[in-house]
Amino acid sequence: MVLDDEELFVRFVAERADALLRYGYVLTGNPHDAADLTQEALVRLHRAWPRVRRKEQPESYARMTMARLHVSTWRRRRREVLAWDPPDAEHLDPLPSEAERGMWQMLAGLPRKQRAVLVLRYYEDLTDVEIARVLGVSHGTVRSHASLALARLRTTIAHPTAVDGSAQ
Amino acid sequence: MSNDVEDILRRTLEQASIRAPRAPSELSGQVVARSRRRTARIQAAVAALAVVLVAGGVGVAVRGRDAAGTDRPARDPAPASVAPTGAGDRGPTGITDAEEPPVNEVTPPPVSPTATITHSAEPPVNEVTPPPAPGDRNAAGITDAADPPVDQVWPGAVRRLPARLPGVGRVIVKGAIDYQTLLLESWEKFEKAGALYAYDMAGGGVRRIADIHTPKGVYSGGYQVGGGRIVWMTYNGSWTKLWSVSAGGGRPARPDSYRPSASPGGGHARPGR
Repeated sequence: MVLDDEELFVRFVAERADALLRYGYVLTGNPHDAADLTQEALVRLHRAWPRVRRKEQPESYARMTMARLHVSTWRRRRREVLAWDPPDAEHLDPLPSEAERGMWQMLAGLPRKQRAVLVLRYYEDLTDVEIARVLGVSHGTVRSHASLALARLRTTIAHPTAVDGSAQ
Repeated sequence: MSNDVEDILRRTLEQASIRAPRAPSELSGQVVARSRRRTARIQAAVAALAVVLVAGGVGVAVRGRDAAGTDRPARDPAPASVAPTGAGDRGPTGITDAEEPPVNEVTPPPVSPTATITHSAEPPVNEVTPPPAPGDRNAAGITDAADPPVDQVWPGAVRRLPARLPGVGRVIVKGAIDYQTLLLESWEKFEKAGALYAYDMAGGGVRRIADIHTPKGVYSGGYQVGGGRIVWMTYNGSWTKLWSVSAGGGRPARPDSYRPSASPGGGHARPGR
């Protein structure tokens, strides 16, 4: 990596790390996993930086890496040593309404792939075709995950005791 | 019902994202250092693998000669004795690049042999330390949760403002215009800056400075305030444009004095496409 690349990478991290952390937080549901995911994606982005930057897509590369890491077995096996100490979730401000707090809890009960599809569709505003490309799965798989996840959320809203909070 | 669920879901994700931790200022340095260590480990693993392959070739040759009927007993090349050290000592952790986007979606496919090498030997021993005990300080000197909040240690040092302002929406603090005026960035849509505002911490009033919305894929950042002006850049990871506007408000303009060639050594700025 030449100096210019290094400077551009540092600037990219300075400008976009917070946004990636927000994305990581809604993907994972807790600040430590968000920090872990973001840090790992940035390390991988740095290693691919000269190639990725030429295509002008460093952010989409990082977000795609984060989504794939999250649904893979990678994060179930290990967690990086973090470069900093994010606050625990209980120290964060609560969500403003009861409906949102309930939804956040229900999301924690979804399997990772279903949650990732919902995040990509409703947070990233991606189409199902784009989601399929990001996760490296078929269009049908995306629709299936989305349908199952939404059905589960509707059922849980109708029957709140179904919330089990068991993240996959 | 369906729309209700989707609306709540969309709102929940957006609201929850605000609670995400902020990145520390030294993150880029930490990431770069970690990336370089990983690259060095992979190169060491590749070199060690080459040694194993050479040693294996010798073993085959020795055995071949033995099978050919030499008088001397063949010696077992004992491949285990030349197994790679370092990375292999700690055993593979199973980390691969499989979760990274296929490079042909973003970049040309790599020819490097490392593309098929399984990463192993995650962090070196000096990095795999247990979390510090309460009251300890980590290597970066950052205090842990056991320390009291700064606003208890230094009352008045912390000021709070709403994450959403009436008539403006979500805002993010980007700097200080003066002692009691903050520079805020509003979001036109998710993750996209819409406008700059001045926020009066004494009275809570907010004043629109300028519209700064950008096309898709282009982001704003690097805000600096000085001499009564606000300077920032828009970029997309490959090019950068500088902008300036009076802190009193107005229409953003490209600084006349800026020229790429006026930046000795290249600097950060690059000309637009």
